[in-house]
Amino acid sequence: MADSHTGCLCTEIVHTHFGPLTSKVASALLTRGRLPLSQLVVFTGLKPRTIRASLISLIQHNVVWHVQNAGEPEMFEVNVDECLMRLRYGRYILQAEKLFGKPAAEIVQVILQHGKLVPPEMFSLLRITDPKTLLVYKQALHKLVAGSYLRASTPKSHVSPKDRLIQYEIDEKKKIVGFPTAKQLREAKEVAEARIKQEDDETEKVGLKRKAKEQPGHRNSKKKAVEDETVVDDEVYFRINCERFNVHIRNTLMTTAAKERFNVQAAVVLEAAIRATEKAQLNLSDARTDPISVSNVMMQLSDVGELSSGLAYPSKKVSAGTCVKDYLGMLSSADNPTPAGKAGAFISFGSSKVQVEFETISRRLRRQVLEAVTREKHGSEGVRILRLLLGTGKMDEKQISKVVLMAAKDVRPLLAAMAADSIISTQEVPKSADRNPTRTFYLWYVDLYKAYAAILEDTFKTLYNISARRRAEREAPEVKAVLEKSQRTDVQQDESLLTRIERETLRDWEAKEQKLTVLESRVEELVFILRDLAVHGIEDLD
Amino acid sequence: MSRGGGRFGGRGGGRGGFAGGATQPPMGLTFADLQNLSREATALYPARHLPVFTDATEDEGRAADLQLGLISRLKDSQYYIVEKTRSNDLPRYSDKYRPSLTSQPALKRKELHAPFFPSELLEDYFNPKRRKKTVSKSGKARVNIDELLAEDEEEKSDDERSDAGSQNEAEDYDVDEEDDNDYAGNYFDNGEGDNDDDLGGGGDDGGGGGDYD
Repeated sequence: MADSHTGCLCTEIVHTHFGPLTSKVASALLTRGRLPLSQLVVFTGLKPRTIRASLISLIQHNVVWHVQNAGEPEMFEVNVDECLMRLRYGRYILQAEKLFGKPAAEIVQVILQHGKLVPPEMFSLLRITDPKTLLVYKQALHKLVAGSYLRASTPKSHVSPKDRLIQYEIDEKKKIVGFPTAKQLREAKEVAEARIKQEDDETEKVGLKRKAKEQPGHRNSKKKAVEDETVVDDEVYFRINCERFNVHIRNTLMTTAAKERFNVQAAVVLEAAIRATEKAQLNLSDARTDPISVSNVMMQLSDVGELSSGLAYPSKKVSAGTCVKDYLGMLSSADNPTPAGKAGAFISFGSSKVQVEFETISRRLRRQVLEAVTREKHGSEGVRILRLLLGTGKMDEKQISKVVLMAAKDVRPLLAAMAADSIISTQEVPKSADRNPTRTFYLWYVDLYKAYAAILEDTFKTLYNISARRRAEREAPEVKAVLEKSQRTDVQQDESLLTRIERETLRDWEAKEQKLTVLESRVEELVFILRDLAVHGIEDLD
Repeated sequence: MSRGGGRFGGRGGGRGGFAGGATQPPMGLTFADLQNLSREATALYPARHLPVFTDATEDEGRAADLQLGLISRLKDSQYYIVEKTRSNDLPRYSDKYRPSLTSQPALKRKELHAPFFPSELLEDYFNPKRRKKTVSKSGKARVNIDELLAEDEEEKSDDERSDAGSQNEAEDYDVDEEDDNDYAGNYFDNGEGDNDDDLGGGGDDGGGGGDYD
């Protein structure tokens, strides 16, 4: 179950990808929570056969979980996170191409199209017959699986994690003899959670199996044998591991932030530092990377000569090592060892080991989003008030107007407008026992949870509007007629059957569609910063 | 905006303030401020500075094209669910070129891995006319009691209730009629025997008294 804006957005995504009938099913599940098939028939008003087809399609694409517990029929539930990730599929394919080349991109593309596939099916859908290309694709697949970009899909992954936790807790509680104490209940819960974690870890290992040793004799070198021992298991269904791709999106965001803060070369150094530990970054929940040595960073840098152009040195010739060390010093705010400086740093540079601070950078990116939204809605005065309240906690209106150097009559409407947007909130401190408004202090402060949640809600609404706009443009009469005509088989073979005006309409429509999709991906980045990067927690460390 | 600001703290404070006598409006407003609040309505669509859409970079354009390609391929795939409707339009020459409704691919059983799906779902979709097996439903407390009596028709009638539009309704209907439930014949008393003048015996007693056998 999801709140109304997330639900609307997910319904719209399902509509675009799977059609209007499937979106009715998804909408019923999102507004009413888990439902069995019989209730879906009642709430959607569709034929049972259509509902079954929609559910099969959604389960195949991992959008719907299903579970059968004792005493109830098969229940279906929507996996909201997976649904929202569908907006990023274009970026994932592009990322796979950048990392491993076109074969890997095609494999990722075909898996995204079908939800999950076994390797033989992948190759047959890509129509690979020639054994040489087959080998190339197999190598690409191996790299994807070994780098955790693809993960195995098991029957357990089709059950919602909450359902599994409840089920395991019930199993553990059954083992308790007699009347359960609070401690035993807590232990049961912890054991259940540990069991889930263990099963998830096991699934991660599924997918690569050891190759049967064909030549027991004769090994050239021990190193070679170790590398060739794992081979992709042909019986396992693989799906995309969104977390791993999200790591790359996060890294791109951080290097862009470094570029905006300092210069291009500093961003290059940061990128090299991140790349040094990329293999170990499996999900977004790492607060910082493992420690990297400076020489490691330098190894990842391809063009060291360019770096010195980003810094101004008194002497002409500086060694690459000094250059890199200077950049690292800049990125770690070595000149400002106060807490404020640390909050503005990108890396922590201690005893010649570098660690990229993901948590700090995420927090800063979120703060920048909040300030940008406030600036757009309330102008620079609003940002002044916001920064003051973020820095000092709770303040009375008179104090605010004094510190911010604005007249009270200007401050008051701004405070009210910002509170209406949920950016700031009031704390009432009553002077008397009855909460008489004339005799209470109203302290203003920034409630970060509420502010970020309000902005996220607006972002979901925006994404929904973009998608609805794209749909509406497609259904405008001229465009619709031209699109239908272009679907005809004779037109698809011969473009000249379309008139000049029709071709222009088609080109305009394609340009509009691309613009809207690019806009959608830009807004989606906001969702990424606010939602996915918030995995470390939202509150500022003071 | 300013009106909103003036009213924000005045939830009941105005009334309380006047009654108390000693008073100022809350939140530091003065009466002069309140008088000076503008009483004109703010514009329905105030002037806005709309942000300009910067051109897509190459990467963004490529990612957008890949996303749109994926969506259009999904639209023509078996995962885009459509219902086949019959249209009453006259047949046209261009029908042979237009993609007909039957050209949408259908879900194929061999492409779906059965352990990932609920077995009932797959079975009911791919074999719609199969005989419904009387699978015993455990977990319902009521079933245990009736287990001794008429197990079969309880489950069959549950089945037909839970699958709306089940095709087996026709053949199960007969079984429902002839169940040997004790109450079937004499539960409903439609008042036919009520007009009898004699009070004690009669038809309705026979019907009601049957319960106490």
